[in-house]
Amino acid sequence: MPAGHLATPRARRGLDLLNFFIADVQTGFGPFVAVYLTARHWTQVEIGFALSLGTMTAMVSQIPAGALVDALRGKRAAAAAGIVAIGASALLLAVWPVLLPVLVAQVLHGFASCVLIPAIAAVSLGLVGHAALGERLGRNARFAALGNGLAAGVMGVIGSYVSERSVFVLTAALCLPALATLPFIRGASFMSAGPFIDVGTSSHGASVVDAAPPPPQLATRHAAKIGAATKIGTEQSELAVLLTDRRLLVFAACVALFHLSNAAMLPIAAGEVTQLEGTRASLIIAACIVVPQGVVALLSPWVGRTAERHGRRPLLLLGWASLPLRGVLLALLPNPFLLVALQAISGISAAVFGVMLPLIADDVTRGLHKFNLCIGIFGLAAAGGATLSTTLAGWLADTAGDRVAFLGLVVAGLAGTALVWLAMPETRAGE
Amino acid sequence: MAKLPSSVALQKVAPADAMPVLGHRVVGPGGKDIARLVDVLVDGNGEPVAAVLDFGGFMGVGSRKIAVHWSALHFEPAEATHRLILSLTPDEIKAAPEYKDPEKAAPVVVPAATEPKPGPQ
Repeated sequence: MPAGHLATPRARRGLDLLNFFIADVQTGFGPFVAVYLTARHWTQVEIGFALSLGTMTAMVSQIPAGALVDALRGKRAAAAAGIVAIGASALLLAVWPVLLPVLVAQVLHGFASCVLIPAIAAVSLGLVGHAALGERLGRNARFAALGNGLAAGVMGVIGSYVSERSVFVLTAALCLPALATLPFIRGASFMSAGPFIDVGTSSHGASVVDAAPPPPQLATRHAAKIGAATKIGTEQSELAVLLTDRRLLVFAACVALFHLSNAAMLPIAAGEVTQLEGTRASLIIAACIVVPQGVVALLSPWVGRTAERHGRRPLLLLGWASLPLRGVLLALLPNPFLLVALQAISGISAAVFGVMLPLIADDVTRGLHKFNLCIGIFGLAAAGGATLSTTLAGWLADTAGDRVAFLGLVVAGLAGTALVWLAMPETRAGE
Repeated sequence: MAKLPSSVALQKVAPADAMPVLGHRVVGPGGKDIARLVDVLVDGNGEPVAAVLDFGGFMGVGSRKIAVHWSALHFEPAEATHRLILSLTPDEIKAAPEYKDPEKAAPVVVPAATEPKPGPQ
C-alpha cells in the first residue's frame, strides 16, 4: 500500500465515522417523508408533488454537483456544506412542515446529496491515494451499511412509538457528529504524498499532473489520450476524453440496468408482505432492510480487497448476476419469511455496487481531474434506472401481477449481467 | 379580525362533535394501530363513499393503500382518544385489492352487513 500508510489511524477512523453518520442522516429521507407528511395531514397530491420534486432535483443535480466538487479545492469543505444543507433540510421538515419549506427542504436535500456522495469519495481518495482506494471504499461501504442498518432500526422505532417528527429531529442532530469527524480526516498524503494523490483532491492538480511523468501502471493507449488532452490543456478536451471512453459508457449502461432491475424489487415484495402479514408486516420489512445492511458490512471490505488483487470484472459479475438470481427466487417463492433470506442476497449486489461505482470512476478518470463528475454521471445513470424500474415494474404488476413484474426485473438484471460479461473491460490500472 | 358578513353565521364545532380525519391513525377491532386514513372519496353531494387507508409497511417501504366503504369505519369524536376504528377483519383486509390510480374505478371493500349506498349507476 504505497500511499495508504500515509493516512494516520486517526484520519482513517474519522472517515469511518463520517461514512457511518452520513448514512444515518440519509435514512430518514426517502419513502419515510411520505409517512411523515401524511401524519401532518398533507394530501396525497401534495405529497406526490414534494417527493417528485426531490427526485427530480437529485437527478438533474448529479452531473452539475459532480463538476462543482471537481472544481472546488477543498473537498472536506464541500462535504461540510453538504452535511449542513442536509441538516437544514431535516430541520425544515421537522419544525415547519408546510408546503413551501418542505419543497425547499426537498430541493436542498436533493442537491446536497449529489455533492456529498462524490465529496466523500474525493476525501477518501485524497486520504489514501489510488493504490489503496479499493480497500478504503470497502471500509466506507462497511461503515455506511452499519449506519444505515442501525439508523433504520432506531428511526423505525421512534417513528412509530415517539413521533414521526422525532425522526427528522434526530436526523438534524446526527449532522453534528458527522461534521465533527471532518477535522480528523487529514493525513500526510494531503500534503506530501506526491502529485498523483492529489488528482482527485485539487482543482489545480492539472499543473502538477502535467509536470509529472506518466505513471507506469497506466494503460498506454489511455495514457496517450490523456497526454494529448493535457497538452492541449483545455477543459473541453479532457471532457471529450472522458465522454468518449468506452469504459465509462459501458459501465454507465451497466449501472442503469442494475437499478432498473434492483430498485422495484423490495418495494413490490414488501407490498406483498404488508398485504399478507398485516400487523407483523412492519417487523418483516424492517428485517428485509436491516439484514442486507449486515451482509454489506461483512462483505464490503472483502469486495474492496478482491477488486485490487483480482480486478473489477469478477466482482462486477458477482454483484450484477445476484440481481436476476434474487428476482427469480422472489418470483417463484412468495413467502414473507423466506423474503428476509432472499433480501440478504441483495446485500451481495449492494456491497459490490457501493464499492465499485467510485472505484471504477477513479479507474476511468486517472490523470483527468473529472473523478467527481464521473461519479455524477454514474449517479445519473443509477437514478434514471431506478425511476424507470418503479414505473415499469408498477405497470407490469398492475397489468399482469407481481410474479410477472419480478420476471421483468429479472430480464433487466440478466441484460445488465450480459453487458458486464460481454462489453465491460477490466479497468484495474495496469490491465 | 375581519367582521363576519351578515350573509353567513358562525357555528362552533367542538372536537367532540366532529374530528379531522386526514392523516388520522386507524385502529383495528382489537384497538391495534393498523393504518392511516389518507384520502376520502365523496359522491356528487359531497357525501363520503369510501376512505383510502394506507397500511404503512416500515419507514414507508411496503406501504399499501386500500379503499374501504365509509360504513366500515367507526368514529369516536366524543371519546378523548378520538379513535377511528376499521371494522374489517385481517382476512378481509388481506383480500382487498390495492387502491392505486384515482383516475380509475376504485376497488372499494364493502362490509357484507351494510347495504352500499345507492348511488348513480
